[in-house]
Amino acid sequence: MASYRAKLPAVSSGGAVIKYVKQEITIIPAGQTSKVYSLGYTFDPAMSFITGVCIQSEDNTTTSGDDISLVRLSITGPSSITLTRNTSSTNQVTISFQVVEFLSGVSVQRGVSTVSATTLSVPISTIDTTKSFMSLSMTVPVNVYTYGYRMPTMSLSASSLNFTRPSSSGITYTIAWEVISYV
Amino acid sequence: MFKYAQVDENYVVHSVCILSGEITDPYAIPIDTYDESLVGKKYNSHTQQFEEVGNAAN
Repeated sequence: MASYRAKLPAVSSGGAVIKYVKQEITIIPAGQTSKVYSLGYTFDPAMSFITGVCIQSEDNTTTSGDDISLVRLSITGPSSITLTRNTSSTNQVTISFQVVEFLSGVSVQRGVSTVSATTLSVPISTIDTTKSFMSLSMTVPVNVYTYGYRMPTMSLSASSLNFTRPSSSGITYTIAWEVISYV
Repeated sequence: MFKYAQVDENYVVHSVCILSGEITDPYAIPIDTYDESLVGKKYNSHTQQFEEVGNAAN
């Protein structure tokens, strides 16, 4: 812990203190749907969240764009994350991400959900919505823009995570989510 | 931390999660290990096992 703090001075946000931020750029190689990425150090998943963006590496005007270029980001271990897309491709996809670990003052709940209906409510442990925020990433089996499918919105209540979209469209979104609460 | 598989009215898993506290919900099944591969499987309340959809008899 001391070595991390020596690299990055602690930043206080109320009672929360950031311990370490890891920034990386990696790829899911051509021909693969997922990748387990080792961060090279041990962190506490219960005090950490991940956020990032995927960069398309091929033409998205085809009918199979989003299924290969949208990526779910999940913290799956004390030293690794898992990056997943719906379908493999002859093209790679590039992902830029950050893993933010807090020293104290936060509580992180996480999961993965499939949204196939117009709404889905996922019960979570009680939170204060005025002191919580979400991080999410999702994958889909088709190109949502070509077909006009709308991605679900996501909102928090004190005891649930709620997904809503205008119509079910017959496709399923798979969403990796995290709820970060200041405690 | 509390790990759950959350199921729909047909007992099909729609979510797997790790929560900071215990919840009481008839559709939240406590699990020992966080396993995202449970999503899409069906919970058999008789055997208390998760089965591929089509094989479960609930």
